[in-house]
Amino acid sequence: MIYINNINRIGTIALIVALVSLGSCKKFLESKPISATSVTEFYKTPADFEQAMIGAYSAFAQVYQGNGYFALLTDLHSDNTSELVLGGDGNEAKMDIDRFTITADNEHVTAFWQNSYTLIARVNSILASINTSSLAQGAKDEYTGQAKTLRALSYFNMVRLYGDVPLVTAPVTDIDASYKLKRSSVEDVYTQIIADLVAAEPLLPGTYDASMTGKVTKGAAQSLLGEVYLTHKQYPEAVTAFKKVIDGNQYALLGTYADLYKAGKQGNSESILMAQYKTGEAYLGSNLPNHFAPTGSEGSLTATGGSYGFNQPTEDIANAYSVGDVRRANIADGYTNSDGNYVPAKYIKGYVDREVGNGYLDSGADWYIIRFADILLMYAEAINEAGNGPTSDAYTALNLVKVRANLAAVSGLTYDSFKADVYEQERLESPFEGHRWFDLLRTGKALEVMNSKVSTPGSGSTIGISAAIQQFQLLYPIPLIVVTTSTPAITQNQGYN
Amino acid sequence: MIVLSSSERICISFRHFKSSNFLFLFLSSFFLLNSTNAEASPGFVPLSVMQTPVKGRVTDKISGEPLSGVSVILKGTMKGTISDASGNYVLAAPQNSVLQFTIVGYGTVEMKVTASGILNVSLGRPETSLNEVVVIGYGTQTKADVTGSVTSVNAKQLQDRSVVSFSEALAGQMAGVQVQQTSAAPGGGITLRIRGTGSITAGNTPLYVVDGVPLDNSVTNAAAQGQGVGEQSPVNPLASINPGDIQSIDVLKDASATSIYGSRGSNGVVIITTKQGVMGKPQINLNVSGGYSEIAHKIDMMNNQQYAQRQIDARNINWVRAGGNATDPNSVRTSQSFMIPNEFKNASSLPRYDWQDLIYQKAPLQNYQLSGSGGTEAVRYYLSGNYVDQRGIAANSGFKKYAFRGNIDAKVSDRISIGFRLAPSYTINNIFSAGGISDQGGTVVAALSLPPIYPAYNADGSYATAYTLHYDDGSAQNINYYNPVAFAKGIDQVFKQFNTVGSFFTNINIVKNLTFRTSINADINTFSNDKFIPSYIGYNPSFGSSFSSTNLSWVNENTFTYSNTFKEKHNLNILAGVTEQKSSFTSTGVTANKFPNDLVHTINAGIVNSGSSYRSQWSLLSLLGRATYNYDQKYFLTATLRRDGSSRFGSSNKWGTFPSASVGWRVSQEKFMRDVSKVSELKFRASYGLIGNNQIPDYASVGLISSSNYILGSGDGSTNSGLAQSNLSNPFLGWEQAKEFDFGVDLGLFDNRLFVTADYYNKLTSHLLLDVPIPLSTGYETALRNLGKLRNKGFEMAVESRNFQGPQFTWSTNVNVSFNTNKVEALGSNGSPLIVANRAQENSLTHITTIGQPLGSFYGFVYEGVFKTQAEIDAYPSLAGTLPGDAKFKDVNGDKVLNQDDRTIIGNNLPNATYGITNNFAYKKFDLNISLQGVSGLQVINLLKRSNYRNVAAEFNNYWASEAKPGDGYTFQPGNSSVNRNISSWLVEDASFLRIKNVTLGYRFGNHLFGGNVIKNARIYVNIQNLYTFTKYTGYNPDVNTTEGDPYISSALTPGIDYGTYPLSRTITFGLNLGF
Repeated sequence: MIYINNINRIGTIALIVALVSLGSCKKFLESKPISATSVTEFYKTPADFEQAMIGAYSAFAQVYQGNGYFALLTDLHSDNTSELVLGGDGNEAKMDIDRFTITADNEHVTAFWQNSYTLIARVNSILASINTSSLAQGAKDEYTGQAKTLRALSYFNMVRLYGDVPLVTAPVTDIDASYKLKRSSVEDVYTQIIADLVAAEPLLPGTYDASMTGKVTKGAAQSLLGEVYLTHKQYPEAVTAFKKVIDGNQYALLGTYADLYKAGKQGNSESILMAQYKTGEAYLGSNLPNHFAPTGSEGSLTATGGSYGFNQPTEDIANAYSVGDVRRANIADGYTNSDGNYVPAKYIKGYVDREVGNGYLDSGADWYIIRFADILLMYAEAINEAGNGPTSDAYTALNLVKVRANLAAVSGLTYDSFKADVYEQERLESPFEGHRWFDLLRTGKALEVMNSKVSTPGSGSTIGISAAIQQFQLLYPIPLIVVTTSTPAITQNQGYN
Repeated sequence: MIVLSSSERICISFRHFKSSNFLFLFLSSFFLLNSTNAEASPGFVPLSVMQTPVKGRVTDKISGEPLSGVSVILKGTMKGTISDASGNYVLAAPQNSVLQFTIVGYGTVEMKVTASGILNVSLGRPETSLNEVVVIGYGTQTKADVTGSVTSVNAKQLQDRSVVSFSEALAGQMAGVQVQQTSAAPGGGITLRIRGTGSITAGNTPLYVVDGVPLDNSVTNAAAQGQGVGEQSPVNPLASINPGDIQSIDVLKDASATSIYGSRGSNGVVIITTKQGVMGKPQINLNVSGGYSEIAHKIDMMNNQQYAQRQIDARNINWVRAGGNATDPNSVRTSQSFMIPNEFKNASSLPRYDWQDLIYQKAPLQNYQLSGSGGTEAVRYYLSGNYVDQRGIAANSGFKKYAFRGNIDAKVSDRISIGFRLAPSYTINNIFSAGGISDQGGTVVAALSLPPIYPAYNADGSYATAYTLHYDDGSAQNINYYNPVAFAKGIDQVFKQFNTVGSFFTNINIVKNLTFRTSINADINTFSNDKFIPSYIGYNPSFGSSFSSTNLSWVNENTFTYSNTFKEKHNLNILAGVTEQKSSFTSTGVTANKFPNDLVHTINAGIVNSGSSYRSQWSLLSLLGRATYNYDQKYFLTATLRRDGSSRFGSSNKWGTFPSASVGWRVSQEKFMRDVSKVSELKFRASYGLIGNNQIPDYASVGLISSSNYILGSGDGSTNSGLAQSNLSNPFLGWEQAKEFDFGVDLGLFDNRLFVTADYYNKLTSHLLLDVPIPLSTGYETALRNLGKLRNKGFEMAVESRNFQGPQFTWSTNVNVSFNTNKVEALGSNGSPLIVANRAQENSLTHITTIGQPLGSFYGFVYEGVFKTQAEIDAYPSLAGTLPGDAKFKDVNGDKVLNQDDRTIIGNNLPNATYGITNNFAYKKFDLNISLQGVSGLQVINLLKRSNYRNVAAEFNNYWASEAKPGDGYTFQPGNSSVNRNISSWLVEDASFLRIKNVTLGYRFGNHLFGGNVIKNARIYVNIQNLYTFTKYTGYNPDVNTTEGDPYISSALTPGIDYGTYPLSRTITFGLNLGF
């Protein structure tokens, strides 16, 4: 029947259509990301590398701020600050750091590890593709220098906090192999750090255009190299590195100590490397005022965003200043609350008095990583160690810092008394900038100093510990998640199992 | 339009139709439409010539009432009609032909046309559901023919209740289907699991198919809706459906049933069919109900006196631990934290604030449903409107829904029918942030931890946020707190959804027994989510955000169905088809701060400080086929195949094939069973097949570069835009594969008065899409890989029993029970366990997924009570820093050292059994329905119990206070101790429950109301939802997961967390159904 024929024909057509649609399926199933670039299309143009570098700095900003991890792992752990929580409603993860009761799953210990490796992965990706790129040699050098310095800084932090750590210097391509990666020895990590900094230093410019202030400079690489040598007890090399910073004439102490912590101070003459934040920019502000303001002070010290008292100066540090030392003014002894009552509670003015913008995580409070005063003091320390006594250069450096603090210049000291004076100044000059714990480790005085201040809480000392700490506690545990993910390749630090 | 004469040759080039072939198919249907006109042309004998009109009336066997909407089909053809409101039908049919009478909820009856031309039929309520029509993918079957595992709920079971949401309709009603209401907020989310949790990362949501339109699951996640963690579980796309429109819900469970949906079938398929128009006089139904909800269970918190005493003990304990003596006066104590404030000394005289009463309220509910249906033989319609206004029991929360539906079916000719479905709906959710970290607006967490002495309001009416404690030395201590009343009433968050599911389809009976169906469908969702935080909320004050997104998913489906019976005994049905689907998602979000005042809540009033926009799409192309055969209704065979290509998968792995087969043997049809009179039905079924799961993000296989900025420049600097790689790429990424075996029995006894369906299944999911933790030293936390195996096996049984069936009184009972076990069989590349942090509270590690154990088990120490004395501590291993009054944890590995290695599995949230019992009673004109829902053998980790320093539940009253006052030996001391905060079995509670889910009592008026002229039928009822829950669980609701919908961690890895949840409400409604 004709009718049936027609119908059959149409049925056939429909079937053919079905087949045709499959013919075009390849295109139909292709789906490229719309709102993001795919990694295979990146790391090609100069703009790509500039943006990748900014991406690395973004990770760098998280290392020093994030959830306040760096300040907690370094200062809170030391005798300079403590979590002085009233009424006992503190944050346990932070208290554990303060009191040396850290467990391997401590969220800050974990986050610091993670943030550091995020930064390392980002610079590794830049380093892996820059040499084969078509960038001009000058740009290649600049990015290589910045990337290597940031990598060295990360490993320098990690090797001091965790001891042996996995050494990753190239982007990960084989995930299965990454589970088997073991921890490299402290010595091997130092070898890598020094190699990176030595390679980076000649590639870096002394300064950048003002709008790029904050990028890693030659002075930053030299400073870091000096500190690494000093920590690694290579004193003559340290002296040389610090001397390069000083002779470079890029940096000078600010006239007024208190100016260091004021707003608008990025790129000041004393700043060598700084993690920079800004208020009013989503996700680019810091939370230092909220984290460091005493509990109960919201509405009085910080307008909004909470006041958590995670990192407050101890009585011990407050009492360590001699009369007239202008730096003591950076520690406030209390505040007047909204009811007009005076509340005694120590806090770090330099951070807490900064703007809190729109509450939590919206302050422009920056974080010094290295400033010139630190270099002067470490230079003095290095000379004293290298030559078994101070030189005139050493006195000059030390006295520059002391005089600005309104202290008398010193002269005629022995190796030991000079050393003691430098150590004291290192503590007093930058007590809340993440140096104290590392200084104690470097000078080998951590156990001695901390255990000399052990007391039960409430008896006046507030450094946090109520029992002598032990040798193993000079390192943090490897984060639990790291150990469980990579068992058996990664083993826990002794004492934390 | 091209009109072709029947003799013309058709030649069409399809080169141009490559990308839009559905249009082409569309065209082909128009050709058909015209070619069928040829029927009337000379030389063509119309089929109707030899036919006589048959008419009759269809009635209900028991009540004798007319049945409308019964489909009357001339057997073996597409010809048919539908009975009108009075049950009458007319159909032209040849003599001695057979008519089939079918309606959902009743049995199918076949009758031979007699010479008289009058055929009155009475349909029985199904002897069982055996003859019920069930909807399977791309077709229907009678239940007797089904060889896969399919379970159904029909309109009858839904309509007599005042059901506001889909989830209420399903909870406890079906074997193998677990409905968990993760947020009890009105309009809040549900999790629906079919046969356990089959995936870790790739989503466990079943595929929802509404009137043949597969919905896009990707809109169900929180990110697509602009929701943050703990704000509320993402709304279910089905929240927008009017339950009153649902004709049936069919759930496909085994591989044989779901493999027709290929790469989307492994979590099961839920098919929703809405009502169709009925021929005849217009029928109008009005259902009005109203009532109120109230909190079902409040948590008993410590009162002023108890709180103050606990604080005093805590301060004394802390002081003793610091070296002091509990009897020391304040003057000796060295810090305020050790001193006893004046307020605590006589706390019972202070005002007491019940924070729960301050944020929870009795909340009204109203629900209006109006529907009209009718039509002629040519066109039938079903139209409905639904308005729901359900206020929430938590302040400032609620849900409003406007839903409309138009279902039109038209017969273009004897061979062609077309249909149209359009269901726009608009929902408005006022969102209450129940869970999450209290600092960030976890209102419930704050309400359940704030001391009762802290006020909610200051004297001037503003929200209080500080309390001052005074000491006898004249000093004071200021305590800031987040005020949950301010959070609940001040934060303004409104979530709106506009959803339309539209569908146009045509069925063409090409030749006898061969039907072609093509459809074009769209599922459109737009979401907007606007939030404003006023200046007086300390956390993130004067902040606003505005999010909007649109998801458009279109599907074109083309199928051929061939159905025939050979030699009376060989029944064959073949389906073949091709479908394509594409889904596009767009979102934009803006945040602003620094609002000058709290009056204007829209973004324009503040200063915009960030914006984002996102677009993505995915596509799916499929070929499908199915053949079913049975011999004499005795031996059954089904084979199914689907081939899916998906844009989501890696470039090296785009296509997958999903076959399945099943067999059935209806033993009761055999001759030897005829004498076994007690057994009225016995069927064995077995199936095996391969199915997939494609629920991963659209570009998961691609390493993406995303924005990552930094501040550079001197002074204050400015933002420099940067980029960084955010995930690792994986070109081999593919779907998850599940191999499932099912064996089932259907048994009917005593004329099917007792009917039992039982199934055993064993499903192995392999190539698990796993966001595996990778070493952090790679720079990434996780990578998405196809690794791991997971087995779900279980047994499920449903029993329907008509216990008593008299003229005046009937009583029937439905019982279903399911047992499922879940075991991880392979994991990651080296099999190391996934120990993950819950993101609800402090990122503590709470869950482990490890080989040989169920998914997402709780992980921690085994709590063994309290060390009452130092001597006890000396005698048993303990954590460093343990003092008397602290927790005693078990030395699990027996190495005499207590450390992290002693952490172990301490429970899980996967139930051993879920069950439901429904009893229906009818006595004269009264009807009573009682439904119970139960879950047993699971636990919840109650992280609220971990907040120790403020107020706690009254159950902790018997704590260790000193060696002299050791308490119950189970509750540790209230002071500071990091030991006690370890995740341990102390936090894990038995979350088994039995809930009286629904009680409905109704009365049906007879026809005598207004003489039956205006109102044809009327019923009044009272309904109580969640009347009572029997459970040992101490929180609001054992059916909880705070982290459901977390966009960062798969909720399958962190199930069963309670860190603040919207409390369960008991709802009482009074309703009236009227039929005009």
